[in-house]
Amino acid sequence: MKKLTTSLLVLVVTSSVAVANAQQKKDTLKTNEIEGVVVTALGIKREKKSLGYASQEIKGSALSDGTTNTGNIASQLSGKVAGLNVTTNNNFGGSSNLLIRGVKSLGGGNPLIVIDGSPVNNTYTQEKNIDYGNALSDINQEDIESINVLKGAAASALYGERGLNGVIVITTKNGKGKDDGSWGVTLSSSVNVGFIDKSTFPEYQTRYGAGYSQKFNSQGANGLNNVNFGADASWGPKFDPNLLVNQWDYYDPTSPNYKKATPWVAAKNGPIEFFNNPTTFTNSVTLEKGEKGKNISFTFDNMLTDGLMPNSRINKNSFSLKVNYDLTPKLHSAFYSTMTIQNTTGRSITGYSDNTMTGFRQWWQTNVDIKEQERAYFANVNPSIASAANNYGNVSWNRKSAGNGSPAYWNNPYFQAYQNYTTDSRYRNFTYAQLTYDLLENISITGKISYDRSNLFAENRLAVGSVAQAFGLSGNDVGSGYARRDVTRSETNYDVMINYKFDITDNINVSGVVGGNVRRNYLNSIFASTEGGLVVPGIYALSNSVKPNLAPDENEFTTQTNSGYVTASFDFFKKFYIDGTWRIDQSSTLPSANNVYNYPSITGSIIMSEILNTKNWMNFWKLRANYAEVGGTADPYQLTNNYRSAGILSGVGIYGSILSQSNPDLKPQRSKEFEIGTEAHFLKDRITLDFAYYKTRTIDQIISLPVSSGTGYTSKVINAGRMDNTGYEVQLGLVPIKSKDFTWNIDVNWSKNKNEVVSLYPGITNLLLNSFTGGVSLNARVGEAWGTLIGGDYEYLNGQRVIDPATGVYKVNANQIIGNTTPDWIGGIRNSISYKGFSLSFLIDMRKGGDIFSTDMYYGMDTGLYKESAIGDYRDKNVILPGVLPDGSPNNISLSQFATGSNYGYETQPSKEFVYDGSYIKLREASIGYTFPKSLLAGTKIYDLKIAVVGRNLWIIHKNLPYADPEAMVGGGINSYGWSIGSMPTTRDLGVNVTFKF
Amino acid sequence: MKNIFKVTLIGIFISMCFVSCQSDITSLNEDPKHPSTLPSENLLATALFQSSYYMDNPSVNFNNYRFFTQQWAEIQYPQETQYDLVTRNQPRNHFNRMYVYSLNNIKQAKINLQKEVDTNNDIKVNKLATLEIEEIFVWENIVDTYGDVPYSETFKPDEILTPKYDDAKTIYIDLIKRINEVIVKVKPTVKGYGPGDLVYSGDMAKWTKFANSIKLRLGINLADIDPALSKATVESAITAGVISSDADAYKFKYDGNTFSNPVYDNLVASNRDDFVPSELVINTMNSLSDPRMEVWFSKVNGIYKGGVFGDLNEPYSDFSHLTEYFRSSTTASNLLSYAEVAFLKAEAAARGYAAGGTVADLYAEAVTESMRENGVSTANTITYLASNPYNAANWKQSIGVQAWIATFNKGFASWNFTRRLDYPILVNPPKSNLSSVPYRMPYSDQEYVLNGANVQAAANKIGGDKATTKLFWDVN
Repeated sequence: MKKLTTSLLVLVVTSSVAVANAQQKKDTLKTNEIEGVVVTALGIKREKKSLGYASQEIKGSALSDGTTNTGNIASQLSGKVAGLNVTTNNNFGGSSNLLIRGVKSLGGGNPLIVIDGSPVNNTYTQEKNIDYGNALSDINQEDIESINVLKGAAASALYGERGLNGVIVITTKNGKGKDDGSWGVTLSSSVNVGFIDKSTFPEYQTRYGAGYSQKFNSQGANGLNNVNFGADASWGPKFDPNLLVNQWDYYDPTSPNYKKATPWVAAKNGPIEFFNNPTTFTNSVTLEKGEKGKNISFTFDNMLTDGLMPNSRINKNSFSLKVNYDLTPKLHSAFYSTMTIQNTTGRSITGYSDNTMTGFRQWWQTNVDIKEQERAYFANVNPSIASAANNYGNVSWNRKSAGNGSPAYWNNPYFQAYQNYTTDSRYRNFTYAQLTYDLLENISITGKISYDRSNLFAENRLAVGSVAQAFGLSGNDVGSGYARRDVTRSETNYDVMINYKFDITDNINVSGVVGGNVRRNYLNSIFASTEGGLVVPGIYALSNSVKPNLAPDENEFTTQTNSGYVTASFDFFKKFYIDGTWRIDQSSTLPSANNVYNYPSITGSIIMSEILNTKNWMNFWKLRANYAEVGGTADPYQLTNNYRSAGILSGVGIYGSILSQSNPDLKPQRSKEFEIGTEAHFLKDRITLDFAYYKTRTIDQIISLPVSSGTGYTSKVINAGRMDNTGYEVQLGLVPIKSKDFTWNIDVNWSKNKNEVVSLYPGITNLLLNSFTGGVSLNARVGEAWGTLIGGDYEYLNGQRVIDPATGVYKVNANQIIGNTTPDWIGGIRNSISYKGFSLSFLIDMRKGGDIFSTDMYYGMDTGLYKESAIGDYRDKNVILPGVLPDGSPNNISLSQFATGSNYGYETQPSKEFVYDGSYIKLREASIGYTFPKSLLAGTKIYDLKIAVVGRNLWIIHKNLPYADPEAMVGGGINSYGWSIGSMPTTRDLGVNVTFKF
Repeated sequence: MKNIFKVTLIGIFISMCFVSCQSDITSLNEDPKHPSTLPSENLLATALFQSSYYMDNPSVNFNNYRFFTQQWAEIQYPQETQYDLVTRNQPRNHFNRMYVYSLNNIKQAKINLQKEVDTNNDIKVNKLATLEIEEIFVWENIVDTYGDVPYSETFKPDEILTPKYDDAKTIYIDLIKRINEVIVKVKPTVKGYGPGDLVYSGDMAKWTKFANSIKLRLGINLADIDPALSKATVESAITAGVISSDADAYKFKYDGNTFSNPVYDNLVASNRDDFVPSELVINTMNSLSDPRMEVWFSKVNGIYKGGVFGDLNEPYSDFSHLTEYFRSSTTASNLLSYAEVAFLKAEAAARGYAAGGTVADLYAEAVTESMRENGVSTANTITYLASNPYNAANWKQSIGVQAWIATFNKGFASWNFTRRLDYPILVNPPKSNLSSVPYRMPYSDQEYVLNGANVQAAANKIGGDKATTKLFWDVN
């Protein structure tokens, strides 16, 4: 401690001495050119050319103008930044996952989001199986001036450990009124509508109906066949319009088919008719006034969305206020506050269990008409007839049997949507206040406090009449229930910075920051539920619990990191730059013996174009290189065991078992990165090229290492593991045509990241990250890239698949590597054309590789939903699966399809069969806009009017994953890799945006 | 100068932050909501719950004992009756429940107990004995499920991350030794644990009888491989006193609120219809005119109809169902019953050991207890025994079939009988994934990833890590 204080003091003193010396000379603060200035770490503005590391800037307009408003700016970064991999799933109000330069921590990791120099929370929240989105979606895109993506460790070293995965620096707009000093008003309005892209939803076969084998298992009183109600599969009897059968609606008194057998045919309205066209209305108002040193901007934004699923909607309101005011010519203040209130109904359930989408994709009967299910729900839920006899409205296609109307596995999808829905409200406030005092012309001091707080209140309902499912605190199966969750998160940052800048000689100057930061994070959550079901149907309250409620689950943590840092940037003749940073952190989540760690970075760049004489054809050429280290801390409470209550049994407290052994001797983790790059502009910026190559190594990762259960634990918290990432990033800009009226810009981004899990721990070669239904898991395996999929594969003999002679189906080799979720490369191409007031642009977003396991196909091919499972007479005759017997002879074992059911899918083929290459090429954004010429607007109060027709996800030009979108994963973070299950279909979104400026 | 002073002042201010903040920074990392140590009584209760629930659980994802003995059949999803032990990772799940969720809590309880204070030192001795006996019971389940397993190098996560697999017979001998040591330490006049002892409520006499009954089980299993040791172990257990009434049985009680009987959870709470009695059970009991059928199974069209083992059995309504007898949330898990012990004594007598009675009498006692346990009247019991007396000509079949029926729904106990006595004859179903019925559970798949060298060595030693490899004592 003393050593720390001393060294810090020394630093401060030496820099102040230097300052004192510099004061002898007269300052010549050069005015920065406005072009080429980007905002970097800590809100420091730098000239882009002086930066020795890779970064990429997106202007606010490029973020939002060419696309429909998705409500989540993270998704709108897709395809625009080399090295930034954005995956956006289709969950309603769901998360987008951001990944820069590959996975660096074994647990996955997201970049840090910074607004005007202050970090904001971007955690994604996934509670049980509901995706509550990532917090970045709260940021109003109207406020954004620009986004600068800092990709490597050198760029983000000033942010400490959380900069390990890169930093996304968001800069908000300053108010700028009209030239005459009056208030400027901007109104914008947009309407978007979505249309399902049919390639992301199943195409059902229409030849066979309900059942696991092609016979009707029972007959009704009328002597006619009963549909195999309880079988949630379509490998049943062949359709025949001349055959009358008793279907689920035979038993529904409200149905026109009550006690009437109906023809055995495929349904007219399949599950695709379940969805609505999602519609979003966005309106925002901005009032601004002022000039540099004195400006104010106020924005209000409202977004109303009706979602794809019935009974889903979002109402989001955000307000923000930005004030810059110079209290005196030397004392500048800045204040920014943004508040978002969002109410959501009907978030999608993700994953395997109780997910209507999983039902549509894996367990469905092709004879069921979804519109008839809708009619049956609304008729039966009517309070005058809803009772236990009709499951309170849950009249399902999946009756247990002719005599028993309780649903076997699946609720009526409309009952599920209108009765078992979630609601949540989120309140988010991010505020900062800052004072900067210009002590001298070249030294200023800033004090800043920022506060980011969010409250989430979420409720889950399970209505009486539903199929029993795991619900609530205990996770026991119940038929009804109510659960609520309250989560409060906050982050507070206290910053003090001294910015200095002085000339050592006329041509050499140095600038930088000396500062300190204290950051506190806080979380407090409580989760409570009913137990054993609801006493009175329709009352969703904890008191309405059949069995005594378990004590609510409470979680609380406070973490604090104290930091100090120093930076120095030397500028030699505006041709050669060297930057150095050094940061020291002390973290509360590490043991006191090991809780202080420090790390440096050094970057350099040479403006070759100033040194050589190439200005006529190559107007800019820079070489850059850097090396940086970043330290990282642990999550809270890793140092001791923490027992969680599992309930009271006969008066005795029962606890959950500790699965992961804690480690009181944890050390900080560390990452080291080396990067070189070059940036070149040709023909007066008609061609611009930026290339970067980097190598990152992360060691001493804090991971939960799996261990043999013989130790008494399934894992152990440990510092272990080394993961290396190597990659390239390329940005290419072309301006093929540039004239007064007509410009054509092409921007290309491409990046490739090669990841390797180099080591975990002596003797351990695999770390399980996530398990997927269907016997596949996501792992970090030594010698492979992060994201190895392990599951069953075929057994091969001379390249042929081997058949098991005992069963006639394929032999399965368990525990094989069957894929990897890391893509080979990602990229995007954007074309923008403008002619007079018209602008046209489109963005193509691409990914090559990145394997995905589809549980939907694994089960759905076995249950016979997809048209591939009913080609020709495949189901009507015996089948000999293509392959060889163990002795090498061709397979000759004949399998019956009629009596015993399918020979596709999980009972026949290993999981490997259902691992698909996740490559895609998508037309991500397209827009046509027109900005009215000022001449047309003269005489009106409007001084700017712009209309645009925009589209998003208009066309999946190429994909390999059948019937689903390769980006539609289960959630954010670790849930965004490699698993396609029960996803919603993707919509092509079209919209119209209008913006007026008064 | 003034400015240097100002800057230095600010620098000092920053560093002061560090000094003042240092003291409370690490204390932030203590969880205010969750304890880091628990009283040993709660750890015992937790371990008792986990071990009982998961030894008795009929779920397809955990032990599959009821399918290994072919007593239950499946309806729409027959993979487990086709002996698929891969897809659902049953070996891994059961292994974890026994080692991590049960034994590790006992081990921790023993450590925490050392620091606890009791008014009477004898109580503390009894508490330690309770933990020891419970631990031995879980080990017995593990060894008789998997065979050679990690034993001597376990529960040392700071030193040994890859424990070796010990020879099963050696473990058996050690368990017997530990039983012998613990029963002499017990102070029967004083209680052990209080309400946390969810099985015997601190009654040390019952714990002692239970310990001897475990010893009886272990001893009988050794009969075909080490007759001398078997005889000595069995006789000393019976002499010392084994479970001799239903009140002595090892029954874990659930309260039906958060914690319910696992059979209830899988038959009722899940709201699924996955399981029916098998044809083998129905046919066997039909041929004996067994009055327990009325208690256990429903009739369909006037007769009992069992599901075909290893095949689809649709629709559910066509088959006999398990009755309300199995569907109560508060029924206890009876993991070592009086009936089972009586059958073990009968078998001991049949093998020529001194079991405290003749085979015929002990057989009758066992059958009578099973009848009584299931609510069958004395009259019907007498009739049954008259038509189905002990048959010395084929004692294995006589005792084996009756024990198998009596341990219906007590999967692990039943499996020991079928493996040892080979009656009733279990036929490997046509679509089985295995080459015979299972004699053990294969090792956890995770062991191959995390403890590869040791599990592979064990696999080689036992003759292949397959479900069809017999345990060391299952030689006939």
